[in-house]
Amino acid sequence: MGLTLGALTGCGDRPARWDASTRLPIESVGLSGAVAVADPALDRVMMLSASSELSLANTPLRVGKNIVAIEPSLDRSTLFVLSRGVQPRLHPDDEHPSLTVIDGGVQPKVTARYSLTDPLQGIALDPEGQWAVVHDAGGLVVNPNELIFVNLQDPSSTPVSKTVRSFGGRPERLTFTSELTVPNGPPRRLLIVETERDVSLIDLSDLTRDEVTVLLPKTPSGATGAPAEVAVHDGAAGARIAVRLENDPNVVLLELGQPPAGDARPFKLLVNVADVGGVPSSIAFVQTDGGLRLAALVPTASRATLIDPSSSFPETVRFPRPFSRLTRVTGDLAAQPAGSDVALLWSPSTAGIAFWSLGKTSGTPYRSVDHYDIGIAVAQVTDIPGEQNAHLKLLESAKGAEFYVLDLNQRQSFPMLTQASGFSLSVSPDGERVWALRSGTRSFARILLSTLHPTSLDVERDVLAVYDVARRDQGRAVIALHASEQAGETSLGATVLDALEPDTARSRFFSGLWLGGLP
Amino acid sequence: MSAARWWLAAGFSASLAAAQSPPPPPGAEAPAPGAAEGVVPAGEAPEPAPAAPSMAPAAPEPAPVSPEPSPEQRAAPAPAAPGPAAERPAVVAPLPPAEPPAWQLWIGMRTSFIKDSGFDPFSTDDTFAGGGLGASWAFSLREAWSLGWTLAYEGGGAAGTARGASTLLNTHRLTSGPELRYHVLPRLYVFARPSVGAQYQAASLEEGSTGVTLEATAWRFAFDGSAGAALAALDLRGPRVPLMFWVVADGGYGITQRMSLSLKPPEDSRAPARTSALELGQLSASGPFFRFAIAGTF
Repeated sequence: MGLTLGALTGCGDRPARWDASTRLPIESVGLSGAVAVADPALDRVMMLSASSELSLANTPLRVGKNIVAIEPSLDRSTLFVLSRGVQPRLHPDDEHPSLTVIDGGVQPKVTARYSLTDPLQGIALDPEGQWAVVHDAGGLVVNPNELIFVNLQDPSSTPVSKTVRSFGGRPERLTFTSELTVPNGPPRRLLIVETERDVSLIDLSDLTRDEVTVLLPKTPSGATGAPAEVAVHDGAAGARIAVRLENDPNVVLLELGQPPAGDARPFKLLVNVADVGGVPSSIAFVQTDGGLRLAALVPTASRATLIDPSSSFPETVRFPRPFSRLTRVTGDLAAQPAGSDVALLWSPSTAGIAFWSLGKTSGTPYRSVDHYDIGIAVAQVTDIPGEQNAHLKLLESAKGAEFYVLDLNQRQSFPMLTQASGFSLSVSPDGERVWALRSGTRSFARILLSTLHPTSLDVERDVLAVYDVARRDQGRAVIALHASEQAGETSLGATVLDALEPDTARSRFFSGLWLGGLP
Repeated sequence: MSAARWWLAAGFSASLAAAQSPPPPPGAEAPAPGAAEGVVPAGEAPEPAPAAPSMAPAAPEPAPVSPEPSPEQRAAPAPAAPGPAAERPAVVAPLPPAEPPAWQLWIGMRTSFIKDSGFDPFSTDDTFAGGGLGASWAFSLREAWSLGWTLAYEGGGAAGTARGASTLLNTHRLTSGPELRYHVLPRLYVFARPSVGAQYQAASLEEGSTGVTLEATAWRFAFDGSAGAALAALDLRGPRVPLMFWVVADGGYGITQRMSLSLKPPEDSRAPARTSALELGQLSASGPFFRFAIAGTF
C-alpha cells in the first residue's frame, strides 16, 4: 500500500546530480576575480569569488557536456571551456561539442557559447583576445589539420572551419602574431601553425584566403626538418618570421615581401636559411646598434649568433656560460637604451644569469654581457604583470629550495629560501604579491614585491592551490583550496583570507564546495 | 447507557460472542430470525441498562447467543455456578456487551513521501520511514460516533550520500489532537485524526574537507491530517483483562514547517576555525504519509 501511495504521489528517485562522483585530480584555474574549479561529473565549472566580508560565493556555471580543456585568457579575465558534447550523438537533442566563454571577474557569468560541429580537444587562445582556435580532433576518422576559428569579439558569430594544407604533418603549436605590416594591403595578424615538418601562415583578416605553407629544409642528417620555435618581428622595414629547427644549425628566415605586380595577395613569402654554427636552443629578434638581428643561442659553443635578416650575415658573441634561454627585457627597464635591446640570459642546466646589452654588441661583444652568479640554474623566468613591478622577474629553479627576485633596474637578485623543494610560485594579477606554496602542506607564504617581505601562513588543512583574486569591494582575497579523498570520493573546501593583510586568525573556512548549486 | 452506547455494546457483544462461543447444544434455541441484524428499531430502544461489567463471571453453561439480549440478561448476568471444576469442563461464557474501546495504545510504522528538493541529500528516493507510538482516549460516544483525543510520538530517519558525503536526517515528531471515529461494524471503525505538534529535525553531513560532521537542528511546527480504519484482529478479553488488538491503517498529509539546512560544525569539533555554514537550501518535510499500526484497547 505504501508503494501504491508512493506511486500515487508521484515520488521517485532524486536527481542524479546528488550521486555524481568527485574524483582527483581537481583542475582549478585562477582568474582575475574568481577561481574556476572544473566539475566534469556535472558538466559545470564552480566559480569561487570573494566579497568584502571574506565570504565565498560559489557560482556554478553550466558548460558543455564532457569537458576536455579549460584555459584562461592571457590576462586571466576570461575562461574558455572546451567540451566534446555527447559522443556519439544518437538523438537529435544530444548536445554538440561547444566552447563556453566565462567572464572571470568578481561576478562570474557565461558570456558566450559557441556550438561546434566536431569534437576537438585542443584550444589555442589569442593573447589579444580576438580569436580562439580549436583543433586536435579525435574520433574514428579525423582531420588533424582542421582548425576551427572562433571570433571572440562576436558571440553571435558562427565558428569557421579551415583545413590547413598538409605535407603529412599535423598542427602541434599555434602562434598568434601581433599586427604585421604587409606590402600589399593594411596590416594584419597572422596565425602561425607549426606541424612536424612545415609552417603555415593563415591570414586572420580573411580566413577564406589560402594559407601559405613553407616546407622546411631537411636537417644535415637528412631527416625532415621540424620546427621548434618561431620568432616574429614587425618594423618599418617589414615583417619577418624566423623558425628554429630541431637538431639543426639552420634557422629559416621568412620575409613578408612584395608580391609581383598585379598579384592581389598581401605579401609574397621570401625564404632564406642561415647557419648559426651550431644547434640553437633559443631565438629572438633583437635590436642592436647595428640594426635588427636574429639572435640564436648556441649553448654547446657558449655563444650567440646574431644574424642580419636582410643579408644573413652572422656575428658571434661569446658568453661566459652556456646559456640556452633568452628573454628580451628592454620594455621592462626604467632606463631603456635607445635603439637597442637588453636581454636576460639563463639556462636550466647552468647556474647564473647574464644581462646582454645589445647596444654594445658590435666590436665589444664581451663587455656587453654582465654575468651574475646566483645559486640556482634557472628553469623558468616569470614576468610580473602590471607596470609597478614590471622591472622584477621571478627566477625559479627546477629542483631547488630557493628562488630569486631579480630587479632589472638595479641588476640585483634577491634569494628567497624555502623549507623544501617542490614549491610553486604564483604572482597576483595586480603584480604586487607572490604566493609560494608547497602543494599538499598546510603552509604557504606571501611575498610583497614592494618590500620583499615574506609572510608565512599556516592554515588548518592541506592546501592544494592558492589564488589571489579581486574582491567585490575592490580589495583582494586569497583563496586556498583544500581537497581530501575518502573512499574514492573527494571533498573540496577553501580558506579565504585578506590578500593584502593576510591573518589566519581572521580567515574563514568554507566546506562542501562540490555541493554548491545542487539544492 | 445511552441508546448509542447500547447499540455499540450490543453489536460488539454479539460479534464477539459469535466468534467465541462453542456450538450450541442440540436443541438449543436458535437466534430469532433477523435478530442478528443488531439494529434496534426506532422508538423501541430499550431502557438504559446499567453499565455492563467489563468482565463477566464464568457461567456453567454457554448462554444462548442472542444479538439482542433480553432485559433479564442485561439486568442480571448469570452468576457463577458452584461446583467442582474437575467435574465440569471450564467453559468461557460469552462476554457481555463491551464498551467501545476507551483507551488505546498503538505502535506502528509511518512512511512519508517527501518530494521537496531539500530532502534529496538524505535519500535516493522520496520515502522517509519511521516508527512511532501513541495513545488515545475516547471520551464521548454518540450513536455510532465517538470522539477521543490522541497523543503520538513518531521518529524517523533517512541516511544517504550527497556526492559521496554521508548524510543523515533524523526526526522526532510529537503531535496531539482529536480523533473522530465512526463505528461501521462492531469490529471495524473508521476515523479521522487531525493533530498538531512539533517536529525536531536533525540533519547532518560528514564533510571531508573539514573532517567533521556538519549539523543543523531545529524544532518546527507540525500538523497531520489523516483518515483510516481500524479492524479488531484479536480479542484477548478475559475475566480480568479486557484486551483487544486492532490493526490500524491510515493515510494523510503531514505538514512540517520549513527548516534551513544551514549545516555547521559542532562547537567543540575539530573543524577549522570560523568554518562557515554549508548551505543546502531548505527542507520541507511535508508530504503524504501512510501509517500502519497495531493497537491495543482496553
